[in-house]
Amino acid sequence: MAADTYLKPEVINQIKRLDLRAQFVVRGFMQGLHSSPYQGFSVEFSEHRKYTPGDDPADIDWQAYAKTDKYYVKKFEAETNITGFLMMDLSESMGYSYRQSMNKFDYSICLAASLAYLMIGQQDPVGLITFDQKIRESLPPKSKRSQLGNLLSLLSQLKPTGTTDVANSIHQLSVMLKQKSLIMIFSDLLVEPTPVLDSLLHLRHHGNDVILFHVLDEAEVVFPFDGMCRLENPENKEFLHVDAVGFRKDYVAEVESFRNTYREFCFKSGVDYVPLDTSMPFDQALLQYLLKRRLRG
Amino acid sequence: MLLVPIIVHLIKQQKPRHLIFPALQFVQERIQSNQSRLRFRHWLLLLMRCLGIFLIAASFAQPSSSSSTFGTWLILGALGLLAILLLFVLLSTLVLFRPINILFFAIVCTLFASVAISIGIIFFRSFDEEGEAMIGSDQAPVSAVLLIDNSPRMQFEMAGQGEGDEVNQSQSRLDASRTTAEWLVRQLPDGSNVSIVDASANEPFFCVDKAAAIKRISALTIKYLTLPIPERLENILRFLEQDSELGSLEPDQGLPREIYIFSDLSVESWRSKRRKEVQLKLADRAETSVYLIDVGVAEAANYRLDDLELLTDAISVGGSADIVARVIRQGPPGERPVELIIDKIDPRRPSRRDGVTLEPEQRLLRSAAVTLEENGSQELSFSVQGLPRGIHHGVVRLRGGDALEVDNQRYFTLAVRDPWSVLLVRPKKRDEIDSEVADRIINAVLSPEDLVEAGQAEYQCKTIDQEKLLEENLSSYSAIFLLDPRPLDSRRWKTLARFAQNGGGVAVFLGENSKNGLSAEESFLSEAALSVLGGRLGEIWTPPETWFSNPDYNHPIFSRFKRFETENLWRDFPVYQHWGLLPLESGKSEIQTILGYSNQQAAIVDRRLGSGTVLTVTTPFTEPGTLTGRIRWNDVTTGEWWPTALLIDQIAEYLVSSEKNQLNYNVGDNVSLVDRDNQDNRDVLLYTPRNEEPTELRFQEEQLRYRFTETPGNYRMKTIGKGGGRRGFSVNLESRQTDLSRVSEMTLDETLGKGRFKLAKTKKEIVREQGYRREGKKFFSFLLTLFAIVVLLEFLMSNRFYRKV
Repeated sequence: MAADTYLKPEVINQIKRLDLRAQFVVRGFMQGLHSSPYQGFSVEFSEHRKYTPGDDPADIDWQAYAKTDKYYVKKFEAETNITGFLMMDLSESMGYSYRQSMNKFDYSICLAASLAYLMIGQQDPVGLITFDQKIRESLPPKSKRSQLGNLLSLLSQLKPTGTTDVANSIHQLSVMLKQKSLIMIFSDLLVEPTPVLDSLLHLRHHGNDVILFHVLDEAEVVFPFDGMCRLENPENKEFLHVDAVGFRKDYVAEVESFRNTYREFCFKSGVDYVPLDTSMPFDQALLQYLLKRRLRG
Repeated sequence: MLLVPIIVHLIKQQKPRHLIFPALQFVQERIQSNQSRLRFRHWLLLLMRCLGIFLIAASFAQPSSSSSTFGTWLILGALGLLAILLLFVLLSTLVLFRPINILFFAIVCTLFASVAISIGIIFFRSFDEEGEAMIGSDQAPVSAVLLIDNSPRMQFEMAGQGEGDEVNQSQSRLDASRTTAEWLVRQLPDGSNVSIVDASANEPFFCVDKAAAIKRISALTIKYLTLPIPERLENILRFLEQDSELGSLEPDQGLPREIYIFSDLSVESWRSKRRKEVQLKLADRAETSVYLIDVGVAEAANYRLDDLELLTDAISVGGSADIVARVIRQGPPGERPVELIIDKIDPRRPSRRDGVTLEPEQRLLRSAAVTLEENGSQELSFSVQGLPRGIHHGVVRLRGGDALEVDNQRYFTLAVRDPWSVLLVRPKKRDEIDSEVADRIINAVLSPEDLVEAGQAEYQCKTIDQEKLLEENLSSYSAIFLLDPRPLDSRRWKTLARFAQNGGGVAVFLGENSKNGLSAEESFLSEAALSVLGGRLGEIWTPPETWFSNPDYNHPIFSRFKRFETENLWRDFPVYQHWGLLPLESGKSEIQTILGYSNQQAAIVDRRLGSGTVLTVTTPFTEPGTLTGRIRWNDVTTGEWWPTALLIDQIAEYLVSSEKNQLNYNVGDNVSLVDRDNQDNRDVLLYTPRNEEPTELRFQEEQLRYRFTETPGNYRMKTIGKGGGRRGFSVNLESRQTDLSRVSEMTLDETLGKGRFKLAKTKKEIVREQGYRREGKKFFSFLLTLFAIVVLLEFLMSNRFYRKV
């Protein structure tokens, strides 16, 4: 896949309209520019737009109202110097796709590239870490424009192979980080959840912000099969016979239960958990995340 | 056949799709419950396939039920399916859904219990013997055979004894059968085949239509010559079998078969040796319904005259005949007068005038009254004597009437003729006293002087010496008595043999004189002698204490002794000596010992020789009261020797009987009359009791044969032309034919098979039993529809389980 595939203009446009910084650290933004707990964090006026019901009346620019006799809302573009890490799961299961044009891995890369572009556009340093059983490669975070090229180049060369140990890799990263960072993890999390949750807690313990993009294939979410199926795990070659139709409900309930486990834990521990599947347009997934960030703010 | 769906099921099961699926951990978490459900569904699919095969097999078996129970079966089937469904839901709830929803579970349990109880109630209410059919109708055509007993018993009038709503008070059993049978034919579904069969030997056939069947029923009359019901049933089953084989002639079109038996359930109508065969045949034809319609009553009251005991059909002029009549009462005690009536001699009668047979007038000869206990009997003996020479017809009649008229009279015919000529042959005068005595003793018995003088002696005896045997014209005698004979030469033996072969009777009383010449020319051991005696003389036995013993009561000679069976008649008449008679090596069956001694030796031996008879008595009956110079042979003619006298009389009667005609027959017998006087074979006119035109019959070689004796009564004959004598014979219905005793249930079961028939008495009962048994509607279409539904379900289910990509 070419590197610019991840940089679709409509995605970038939507991200620009909803500033990552503004959405990410709502708390710092709302506490005022003067006492931001994050050093180097700035807010710049970006544009006016007409007030529409539902907007925060606090955002109304009264000066503009005095001039034009119309309500205009001030929009801001957040800037931060927070270091971001894109953490990409290289497990073989990430390469799975049943009927979607993108597998989980491609989808994750697309998403990661979008975020990287956005962050570099905000001149935030962003780095890349890949892992399977442990961390394989890491690209140190930088905010230069050239970093984007390097990052995308590396991303495009990645191949999902072998088994994975998400918890170990996160623990490893926690130890490696020297400053508080924003860790964006892209994984299907098809491992035992408890160690992973422990590792996330470890990451949070060091003051890092974590966004967990839980990427599953659309088939893994809705279980679209019919009839008798022999299902084989590509990583350990285990297999099972199931009656797909009869099992679908149970399966979907199980997936939901799994997601809820993460969702509840992440909520409690301040991790942003974003369940995704490959049927969702990746830009929409990004948007959904940012909206959610904003709502949380 | 049920293996087919199982094999298909297993083959189809072997095709799961192979898919790569990394999120197997989510599957593993829930796989356990899914596997149970999967297994459950497989069982369901297998069940569905088996059910499909079962239904198609059941459809082709073409099950059917009586139309009255058809609806009930459908309801039961639907409830059964519902019960299975609910059970299925219950099981799946238990197996698959945990935790169990108690409310749901309780509701399903209650529903299931309700359905099960409903099935039970419907089943027992509908198929209980006493219950009534709940729904349905009986409109499918059938092949019905109505067997209506028309034996004389069915003449029994129901007056005063009828029961229920079906019986008209003045109807006979046959009338009642007719009424019910006509109603039955009318209510048979349109398009049914109907056959009306009576108890006579006629071959069954199907009537053209119901109207013809009803006509045939109303034309049914009493027949005196009938077959028992088991025999008729066998005929009917054979007829139905042939009918289905012939197919094209009178096809019953595979219609359900029904046999209706109208019977009074009397013992006689079910007495048969073919019962077992009938039962087996009926068991083989389970599809044939058998209805037994009882037209009798449990306690039928009747007076009945038993078969007459007529000791002889012919007596001599001046002789007497004893006619013994037994009156049998079935029912409560009662009294009845009994009369003996005899034809007056009238040369002009019988004759025909204006289509009516004018029979001779009758006169009352004897009468008596009987008083009978409940279910008792009483015997009457009428002595008939003083009748002129010729044939006499008469009747013993029970006066007073009762419900069954046919058994209140017994007809008889008696021949009165000249006394029988008996030749007494005494030995040569070696011992004059013995000879005279011998002659006298026999004479005293057969033709006592006072009777001879009064012209009433039954026998006319002539005594000759043994030497003059060849000079005598033996053909003028009916019997010859050889009294203690000396050995005879071959000529004389041959003469005697010829006499016997021509129908004469010979009695040889062996005694003292028989000792001589055992090896001489005049002998008892020559071939000629043996050909007469039928036994070889052995040694003389001198047992210490012996008397006559073991008479054969079935033999005509001893039939009169039967009443003394329990008394030891001969104990007072010891036998001191007797000859031993050894059977010949060839022809053992020719002789029959009819009286023995208490030492198991033979006393009297009977031998058929040609048309006649030879009796050999191994001790003489002719010894005088006192004897000197030798040992007595016996004391059978000493003291009050009436048993010996009776025995001599019976021997004489038996010896002359071969010349007698049998004049009294039972219904169905073939009549054979010999008339030696009718040398020119003149034709006779026979006037039957059927009030029909006389039949002209012809004697052929002094013999006349007649076989249409199906009606009881006096059959009178008149010789065509002048000077013809009166002849004729009588025919009676056997007494047991009118025995109204009821047959036991066991006998019915043995004949028709236990549970194989339905007993009904009223029309209502018949309708109900028809409803149970009649094969109305078939389940074919329903089963086929169910099969289609099951196939569809199976298709949907298997597609869902085994859908291909």
